[in-house]
Amino acid sequence: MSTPTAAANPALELTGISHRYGRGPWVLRNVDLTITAGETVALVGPSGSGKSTLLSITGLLTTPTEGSVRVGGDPVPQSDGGRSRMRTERYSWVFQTVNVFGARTAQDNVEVGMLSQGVSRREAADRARLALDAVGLSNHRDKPVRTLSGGEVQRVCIARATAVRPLVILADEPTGQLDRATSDVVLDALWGARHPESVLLVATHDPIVAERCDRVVRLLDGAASEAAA
Amino acid sequence: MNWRVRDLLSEAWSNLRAAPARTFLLVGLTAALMAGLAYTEAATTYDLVDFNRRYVEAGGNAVVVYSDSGLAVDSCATFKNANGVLASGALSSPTAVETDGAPGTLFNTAAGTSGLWDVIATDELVVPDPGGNGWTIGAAAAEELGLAPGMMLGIEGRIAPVERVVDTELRDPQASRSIMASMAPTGTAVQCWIEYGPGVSTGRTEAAAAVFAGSGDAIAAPLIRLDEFSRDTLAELAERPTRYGWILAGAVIALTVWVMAWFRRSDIGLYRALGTRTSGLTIIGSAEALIPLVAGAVVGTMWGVVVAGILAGESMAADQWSIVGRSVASGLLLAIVAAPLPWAIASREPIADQLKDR
Repeated sequence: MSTPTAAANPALELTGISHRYGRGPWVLRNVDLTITAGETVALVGPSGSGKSTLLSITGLLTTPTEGSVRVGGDPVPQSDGGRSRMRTERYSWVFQTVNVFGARTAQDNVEVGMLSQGVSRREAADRARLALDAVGLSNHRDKPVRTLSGGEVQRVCIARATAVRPLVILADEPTGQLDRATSDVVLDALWGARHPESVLLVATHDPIVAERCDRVVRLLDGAASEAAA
Repeated sequence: MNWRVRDLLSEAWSNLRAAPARTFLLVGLTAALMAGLAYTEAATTYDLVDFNRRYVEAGGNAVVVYSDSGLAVDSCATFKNANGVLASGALSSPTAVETDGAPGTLFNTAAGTSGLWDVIATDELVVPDPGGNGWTIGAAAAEELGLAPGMMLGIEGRIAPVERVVDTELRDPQASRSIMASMAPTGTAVQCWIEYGPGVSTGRTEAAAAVFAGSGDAIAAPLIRLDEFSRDTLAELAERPTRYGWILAGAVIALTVWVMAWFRRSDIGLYRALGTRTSGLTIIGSAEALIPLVAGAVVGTMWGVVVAGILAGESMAADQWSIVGRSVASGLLLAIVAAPLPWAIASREPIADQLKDR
């Protein structure tokens, strides 16, 4: 099954994606997904429906068993180095489990994302300050991340993801471990800090997250269908 | 584009500063192991070095050629230019005399060529032969006669200044009660003393005898009885039990670094998710290990050397520094080379799996 989506200037195109781990059952079946620049898309579905796998394939962390991915109109390179380069230059991640360097400051955590792209330290510092301002963490810039609350840490992750100005932001249950009030703050940060041209693809169980998105794609037993936003 | 090398090193430094407990644990462990290695190497070699020093001082590298009928002094002088010879000099036959100032007391007099004092005397600083006509006095004779350099001494009407007082007690106790004059490198003498360098260990006696083969009764012999110094220090050094200590120390340190890296798989995964390549990870892993390992090795070596020195009651000789330095450097190099391996290997695992470890 596929999800027909008309799109001019597609930023992300997944065509005929099917995937299985080893000889196991098919986790994804013939998924087509096209997202235009600036679009926000929620990926919903029950646990085990393939959301995280689809996100992992979209983010070039996993190579699909079948099908292809194009990013910004370009096919994904075959080589590990080429894939890694495309992943670094065009993607950012916001994970459910907060992936940060806990002993380092919020400023350091945001800078690392840019330094790994070859941005100069001075420019990375400037952009990190702006990104932390955008997610409301100006006062926590120099604190070790492990001293911050869960919501604040997730906002650090969002600042890191947005500061690199990626083509695609992938978020895997970004509010999964947060209470309602904190979730709203984090989502405001995510929507507010991202570049208007960045694609945002969010895997979520949270209907409030889905409501914020332009489109909702439902996954069920590995098959995708467009749902009402 | 990817990391700049400068930023990778800075990143490693920031990681070290951000986790002081982990950093100091590695510094402390490295220091403790290197202190143990340095101490055992130093303590083991104190004995060997002390033995070698006593051996050389006693004349373990010296050969003396004797002849009652006389040795050609110029032949003795030719040793000075031979390979591996540090010094050589001839000594004439002794004669018993009375000094003008101490009638009734007999002292030996003899004559020696320049270079003899460098072999026969064990003073740390032997004054070069001034080439004058003054006396060279053995330490025992000088004490008995109350003589010091610069004083005048008359023997059978010949009055000359005392040029040197030399300590010959260890190598030639008889010469210690002697009054010696300088001799020109011509004519004959009854003894030829030759000091070889420590690198010449075989064939010394034979080489000395060969030069005087024309003198029928010439006998070449080591200055000391070799059975008094029967230890083979080079073999003992090569077989010392601590010779593999650097492998043990280096392996334990490397293993600790690996365990620490294993607990940081999620950090490695995050670096990779942010686009850091294997080469970048390897540089971060190397730099994070290099700084605490070098610091720990320096501190530990100092500890070990100081403790060994205090217990031995003397500071280390250059040879010991060389042995200790080689062992510590080898162990350190092993650990530093092995340190970034888990960072490089971790880049083969799926990033998603590493991130789940968080």
